[in-house]
Amino acid sequence: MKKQLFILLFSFLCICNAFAQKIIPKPNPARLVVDNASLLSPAEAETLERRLVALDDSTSNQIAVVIVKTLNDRPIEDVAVNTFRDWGIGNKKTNNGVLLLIAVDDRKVRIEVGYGLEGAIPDITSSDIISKDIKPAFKQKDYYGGIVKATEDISKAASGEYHVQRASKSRGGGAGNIFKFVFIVFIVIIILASRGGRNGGGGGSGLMMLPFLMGGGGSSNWDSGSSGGGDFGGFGGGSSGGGGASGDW
Amino acid sequence: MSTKNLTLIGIVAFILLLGGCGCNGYNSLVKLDEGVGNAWANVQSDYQRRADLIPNLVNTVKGEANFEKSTLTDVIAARASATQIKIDPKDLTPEKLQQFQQAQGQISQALGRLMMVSEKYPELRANDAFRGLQAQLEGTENRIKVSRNDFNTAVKDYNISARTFPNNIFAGMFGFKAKEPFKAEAGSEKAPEVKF
Repeated sequence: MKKQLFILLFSFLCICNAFAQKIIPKPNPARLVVDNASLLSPAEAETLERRLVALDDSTSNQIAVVIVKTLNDRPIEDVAVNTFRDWGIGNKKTNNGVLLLIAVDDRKVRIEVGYGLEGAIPDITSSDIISKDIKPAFKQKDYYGGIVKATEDISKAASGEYHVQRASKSRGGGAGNIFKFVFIVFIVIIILASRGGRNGGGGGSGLMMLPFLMGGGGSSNWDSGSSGGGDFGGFGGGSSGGGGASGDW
Repeated sequence: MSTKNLTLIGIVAFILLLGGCGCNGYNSLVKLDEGVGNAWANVQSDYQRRADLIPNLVNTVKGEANFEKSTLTDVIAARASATQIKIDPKDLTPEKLQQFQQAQGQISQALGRLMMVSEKYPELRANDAFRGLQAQLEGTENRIKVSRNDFNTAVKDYNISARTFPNNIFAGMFGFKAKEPFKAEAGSEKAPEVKF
């Protein structure tokens, strides 16, 4: 019995391990900079995160920087494409995401480009960014400098393609909410009119609903306002098909 | 009278249920079939992308004096024979898929040799055009790998749906046959020889 339990636990661990090798777990809450190898100082990671979020807000291009200790002998290309798709970096419609994956102990790096940015960032550009920005800096152990330069160049190349504002940021307030409000009031009036004729209690219950309905509308508005304040809004479901380049240092 | 009615209702309900199941199963099979066709189109366009790179690559390498002629002609010949094979997703038979895979495998081999030989030419490796083509070729090979994997996943999903109950009944009725995935590249399944 004990042995069976042990086998069960062992096989479970094996599955977990295999899974961990295939993709890097998605951060919760969503972040663009994920440093599982503690390569950057918390302050550096925070600065980088803020820059990338600002870029996401202004151009909708999502650049994720993911640092792991080791790939567990899996090809970096496989890990990159699986992680990219699992997280959904970039917009679902435009697929405008880029993943910069760094495996510290393996000394390997890959820039994985989403479908939508393959035109703006051809493989040769990714390859150049690795050999000119990343390799020299990483050899001098200036990891932060290399990453910052690489993300800057990626965003410069990518901005040739998409300049659209994020849809979720531009909405909120506006005509939609007024319509919602009018609609709710209209329904409440109907409820009041139909019930009020028979007894007063019905009218009371109709009025009671009003704060609930209003509350729903109000809170969703408040949410979109807060996500504009600086936190990352989340990955959009973008996909990639193996475009980009890999290198080592 | 009432038992007769009950049987009638029962029969009608059964037919409706079967019909509903059939519609559902048929629709899901059509969707998965489209998915396979789409994945196949991606595979072909990625291979085409590689074939399109070859003329440029060969010209760049030719510029380099006394580069081995046989390596170049191998690449050109393999490309010429492989680009003739195009398969419509409607008739993806195992034989045709194998033919396609073999022809593309020859390109892979010839290109691999070309890249290996080019290691011996430092001027070529310093050439910007060559470096660019090399990066593109690497990216394309990776895209081919990804789209082949996607194709195999689509085929797997389709086959599971077409072979399991109750869809297998409707698959047989409407002619949805099981499809063939890509097999591992010839030679890669053999363990490397170790000689003492």
